[in-house]
Amino acid sequence: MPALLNEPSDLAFRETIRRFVADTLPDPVRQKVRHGAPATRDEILHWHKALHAKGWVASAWPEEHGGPGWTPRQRMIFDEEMFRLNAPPLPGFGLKMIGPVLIAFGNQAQRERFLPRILSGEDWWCQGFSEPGAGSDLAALACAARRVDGGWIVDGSKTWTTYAQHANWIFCLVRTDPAVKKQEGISMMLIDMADAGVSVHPIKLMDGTKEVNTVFFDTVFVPDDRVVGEINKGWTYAKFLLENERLGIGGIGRSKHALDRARALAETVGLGHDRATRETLARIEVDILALEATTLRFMARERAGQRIGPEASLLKIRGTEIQQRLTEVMLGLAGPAGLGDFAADDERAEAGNADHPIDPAFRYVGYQHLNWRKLSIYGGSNQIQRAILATQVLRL
Amino acid sequence: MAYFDPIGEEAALLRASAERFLADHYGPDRRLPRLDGPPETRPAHWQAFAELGWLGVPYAPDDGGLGLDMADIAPLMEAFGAGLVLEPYIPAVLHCGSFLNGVLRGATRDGALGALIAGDRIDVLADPPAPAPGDTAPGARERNGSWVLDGTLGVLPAAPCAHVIWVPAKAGSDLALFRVDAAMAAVSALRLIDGTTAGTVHFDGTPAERIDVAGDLADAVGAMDRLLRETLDHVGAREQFARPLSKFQVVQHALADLLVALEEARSMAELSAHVADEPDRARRDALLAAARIKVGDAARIVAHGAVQFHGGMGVSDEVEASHLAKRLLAFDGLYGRHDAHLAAFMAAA
Repeated sequence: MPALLNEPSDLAFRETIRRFVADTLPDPVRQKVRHGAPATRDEILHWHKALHAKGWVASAWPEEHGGPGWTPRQRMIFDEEMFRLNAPPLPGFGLKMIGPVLIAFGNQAQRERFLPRILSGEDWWCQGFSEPGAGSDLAALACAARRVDGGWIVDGSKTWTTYAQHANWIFCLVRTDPAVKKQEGISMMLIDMADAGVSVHPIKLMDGTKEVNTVFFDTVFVPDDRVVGEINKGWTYAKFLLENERLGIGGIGRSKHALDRARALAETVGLGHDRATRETLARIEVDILALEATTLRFMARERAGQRIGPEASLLKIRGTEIQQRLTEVMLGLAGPAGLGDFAADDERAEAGNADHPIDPAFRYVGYQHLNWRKLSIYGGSNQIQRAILATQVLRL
Repeated sequence: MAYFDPIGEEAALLRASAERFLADHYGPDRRLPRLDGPPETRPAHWQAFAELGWLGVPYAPDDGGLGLDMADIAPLMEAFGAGLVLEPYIPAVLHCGSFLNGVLRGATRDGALGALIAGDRIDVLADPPAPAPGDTAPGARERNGSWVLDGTLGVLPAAPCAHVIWVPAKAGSDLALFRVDAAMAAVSALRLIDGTTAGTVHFDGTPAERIDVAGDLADAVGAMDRLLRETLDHVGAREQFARPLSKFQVVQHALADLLVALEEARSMAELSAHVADEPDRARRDALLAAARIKVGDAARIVAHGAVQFHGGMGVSDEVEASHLAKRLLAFDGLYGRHDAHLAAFMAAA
């Protein structure tokens, strides 16, 4: 695939990353990620700590808070290389979401307390935004806090909470003023998952795994120093969080990784030279190039001082369409071998009842196809993204 | 602008400067000695033409030219005709220069136009105004990973004066532009009855550099951009069921998809201009083919979507939307050619 970021300095930077990953990433993890298998908590944490030791874990943070001081172009290359080299993707809840929010809006004590622990991997954060009654209409959230001496009492629930089972902290949007316009009565709070009244209930997904949960809050006390910024400004912080690093939402690295995997799968099943298969994959490659070119064009506009706002929604739409399409192609290539229920298969193997009967090259294809249905739903569904383009860019 | 307006100030100045220059440097006593010699391959006054600004006439000020249109140039040309000018102004500047002005992009453009305007170089276009008997249109083929040309042009004005000959030639099923160092082609000089120089040009395995003409992609992007804006205006103004079409969510989302197609096409058209001079040929060919695929696809998507959202008006000849749509469909049919470009992409990527 022709690389668009191939200046000599880009190539040198890529080489630095490659050497580090070659020396650091354990081979079994590399193999798992190569086959599209989900990494375990320990595998993710191990990699997080390795990147932290190198100073690379928070690629977009300012240097004063522990970031590596990279340009947007370097961050894009880093992201691409991480995927290409089969490193397990790190969850963004601490590094890409609450971390930047605390840097921008947290007080000194909050930054000192939480940022180093995000960097080190000591804290694992999850996100408490969606609720049973508030999905795309996030501002309709009902989880509420009432004022008590020294803090707030939170009651309600959050759902689709990814990795709540691993997390020790959750950042939540809660309603602190029910009387005003719905966006204006929301605050952002940091809640210790070990606090009395917090309970986590796993949700089994169509892919057979349990990566998301519902989190219940039953009279949970949140002291004042766990409120981010000002009370009732939570919607502003949430918007900042969702719009932060938006030029990365095309997921170019992820798409290229999936394309590489689809090509490898085509080879494995003997269709590496099949004209129709090659055309299908070439067409997707062209789509990835166009999205990458668009990302770079937006980046150039930002360098020139223009703000890229709602236009970035198109990166998410196209990126997720490409990725979902690739899982479809892979499912077609794997045929019946992609239809195994790997989670059930794993459970049986762990119980000593069976060995893995399906080749790892195919075992996770069905899982990934099902798992990646989420891409066009989370972080603002693609319908919401189209509405953003229509109303905020086209001004309809 | 009305026809037959009196000529503008700039055109009048140009004509006056030409008349002064010709009075000083032309006339029978100067002309006849020039015609006694062999056909001129280094036109006597070319550098003076450059200093007077005449070589920059058709190019935009951004390119270092004067940015004049034909109506402004006509008085200058009348003076040239009246003065029996021997310099190859028509083939080099009006014909080749205007052509290059329309098609070159990026560094190729900057490199070519600067030297032409400065008079350091004379280029001609191997597209004679009239074919001579026995002409065989130049064709391109690949030899050892680079391009060579074959073909014969019997009478190509100014060819012996040229440093570079630009050759539109068939390369497989594509019509492409090639740049040939004139020293590499077999050019024999002849003088025409008006005293100007022409040449017979033979390409016989002549090395050539393929120049991608990506300007048509920008043309398509311009048409798409305007067509989308026309469509937005229409859906904002047109009311059905007591509200503007633009307030229907199904219309909003479909128009968002047209925007996505346009933005991706714009990115690829700009990318194609950036990589036109890329030395890594495989990479360049892959990216240019990818650009054509995306812009061609977007052209169809935007054309069909725009017609649809204009409703009955979209299929009428009266609205410009239908004309923009047809321009885009013609672009796609002529230059988009998805299958051929996908094959080229797969060969190069």
